[in-house]
Amino acid sequence: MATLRISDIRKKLGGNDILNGINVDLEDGDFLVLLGPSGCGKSTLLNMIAGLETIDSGEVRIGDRVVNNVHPRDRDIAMVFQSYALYPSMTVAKNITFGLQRRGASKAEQAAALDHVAGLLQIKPLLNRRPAQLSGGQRQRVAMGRALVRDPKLFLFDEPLSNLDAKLRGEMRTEIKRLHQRLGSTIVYVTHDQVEAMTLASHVAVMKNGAIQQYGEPQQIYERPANMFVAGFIGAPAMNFVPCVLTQNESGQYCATITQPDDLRTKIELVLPTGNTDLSARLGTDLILGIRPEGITRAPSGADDTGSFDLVVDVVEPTGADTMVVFNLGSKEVTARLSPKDVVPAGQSMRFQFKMNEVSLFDPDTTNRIEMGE
Amino acid sequence: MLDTSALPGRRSIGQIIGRITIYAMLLIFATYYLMPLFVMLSTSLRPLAEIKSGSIIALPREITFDAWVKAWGQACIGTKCDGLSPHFWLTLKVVVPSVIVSTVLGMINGYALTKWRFKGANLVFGLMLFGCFVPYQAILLPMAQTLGTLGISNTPLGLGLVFTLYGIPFTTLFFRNYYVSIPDDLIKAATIDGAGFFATLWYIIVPLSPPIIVVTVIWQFTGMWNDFLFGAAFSSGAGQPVIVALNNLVNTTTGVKEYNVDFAASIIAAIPTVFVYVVAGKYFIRGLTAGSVKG
Ligand SMILES: Nc1ncnc2c1ncn2[C@@H]1O[C@H](COP(=O)(O)OP(=O)(O)O)[C@@H](O)[C@H]1O
Ligand SMILES: [Mg+2]
Repeated sequence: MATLRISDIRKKLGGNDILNGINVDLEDGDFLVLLGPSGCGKSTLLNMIAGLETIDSGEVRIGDRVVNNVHPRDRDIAMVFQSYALYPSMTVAKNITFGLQRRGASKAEQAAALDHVAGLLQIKPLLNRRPAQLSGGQRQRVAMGRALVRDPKLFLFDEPLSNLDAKLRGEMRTEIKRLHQRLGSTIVYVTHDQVEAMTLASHVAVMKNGAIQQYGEPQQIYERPANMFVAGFIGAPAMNFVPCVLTQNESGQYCATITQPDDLRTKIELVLPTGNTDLSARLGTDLILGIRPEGITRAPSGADDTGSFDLVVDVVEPTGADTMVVFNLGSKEVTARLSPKDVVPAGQSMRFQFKMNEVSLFDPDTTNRIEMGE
Repeated sequence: MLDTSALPGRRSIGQIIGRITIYAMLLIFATYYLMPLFVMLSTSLRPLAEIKSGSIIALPREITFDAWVKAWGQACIGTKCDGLSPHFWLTLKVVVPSVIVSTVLGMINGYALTKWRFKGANLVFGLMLFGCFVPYQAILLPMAQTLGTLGISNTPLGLGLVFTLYGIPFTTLFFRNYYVSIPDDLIKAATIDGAGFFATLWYIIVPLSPPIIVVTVIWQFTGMWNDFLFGAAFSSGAGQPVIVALNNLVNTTTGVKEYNVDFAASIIAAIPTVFVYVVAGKYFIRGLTAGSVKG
């Protein structure tokens, strides 16, 4: 177990900037998820922490040691690969103990460590098989066993679950979480799956084009996304972005005013929870209102609260527990996640309400978040 | 497998004729290809007098191994009459180490070129590939000079060196093309596990390599064993490899042409390559078609 500090890491590959100044600071026992779309540089960053890629500039520090020039073998790390990378010619037992053997552990030490890990991951019956004779989930477990057996300071996972089917992925996710709670290890975990990030992470770094877009706790990133990219990447269905104009009503409250394209006279005026923030400089300018599907509810009939309005339901998509209701607002399709009992059939009108304390506001030019409240 | 005879509907006359035609063709071609071997074998077992008195294509009336004994130990090659055997052993002594060394070096090259990519790896590979296309004739003179400078002209070591050097581009190509399909993650995992260049090669890569090793060994062995040009150019007298010696044996006449001895000598010279194919042939096909390595 150890801390990890990454300072201003940069990397060029084949003339392209792959990483542009990455900073990360992890405490002992933290679970960092690097989240981002394919090709954004997550694996490159992980490989640099592992020592499998050289570092152009910047510094990686594991514990109190700068490891830039330390061989991967000597960094006291273990890694789980997306492809599992099990040695095809070796049995499961050999796969798991290979690292110990290479480090000169005695037969007895190897056997004891193997026994412990095989018990932890419940793979004792598989120890004499070869990787080709295992199912995907079993290979995944063996790959984890190979990482766990050395009890390293730092665990690195590169999309370890993305080759599993949905059900198994859920199970293994829970298992990884349980292992982390039990062992208290420091983990860096790469994924493009925001659900994995939300469920596993103590900290998430959302990446795009080789830069961290936002770094923070999962709930914070979910509730206060730093820009429209992060807002759109976290959460499913994705956050709705509705163009609006910043106005002020008679009582001086800031409002997001949405114009319906088919009926220019209908203006929907939503009071923003701006607290005592001064937005006067932006009055009259175009903004983007971000609202999550779960931030939209059905208004109690006859309610005339701020933030409720009547609209025609366009499409209804039941998913079982919740039903997605799509309607048009400000020339955008907007999805609401409603309880099935609240849903009216497509083509009928219903009264929606925005939970205004959950909305985000973005600048359409920079796509950055505009802070409100407090 | 689908049993076509059990399918509904009756067989037509046309189908039956088609079947017969296929088998007839197969039989004709098999006979055609086996005929030379058969003639060689039967002639080598006949006494010379019998061959002279009758047709060359005939079954032996009287079987004798005299021609084999002579070809192996007494036939004259040039002025020496020790048969093919000294050349046979000499060739084995040259070819076996050359096959081993060129295969091992090809393996290390292929591994380094695919899994430990260094700056200029592509250029190095390109140059090596070029080595496959350099015509044999082009290197005869420079090689003769090199051997002379090294003082190993007309020695088994010299010939072995030529075989090994000329073999390395091919073995490198084989191993390199096989190893590109082995996932790089295996190397990364082994590196983190603490295995270096040679430990990774030995514990991870070599156990995955038998198919391509077999292909390379067969290719190298038959190529070197059957070589004529290098043998003729870089050796003489007792230093000649078996194929060159065979040629000289056939050309050395003492009046009568001894067909039975010539044929026996030819078969003796061919036996090792046939042996290698029979022992490793099924792996040969498997190795040529094997592509990906399943994790
Ligand atoms: N050896 C390389 N040469 C040039 N570009 C590379 C090389 N390896 C990776 N890249 C590029 O770096 C970017 C980041 O790759 P990677 O870290 O694997 O992304 P991720 O894991 O987030 O999907 C990709 O755009 C990829 O094309
Ligand atoms: Mg990746």
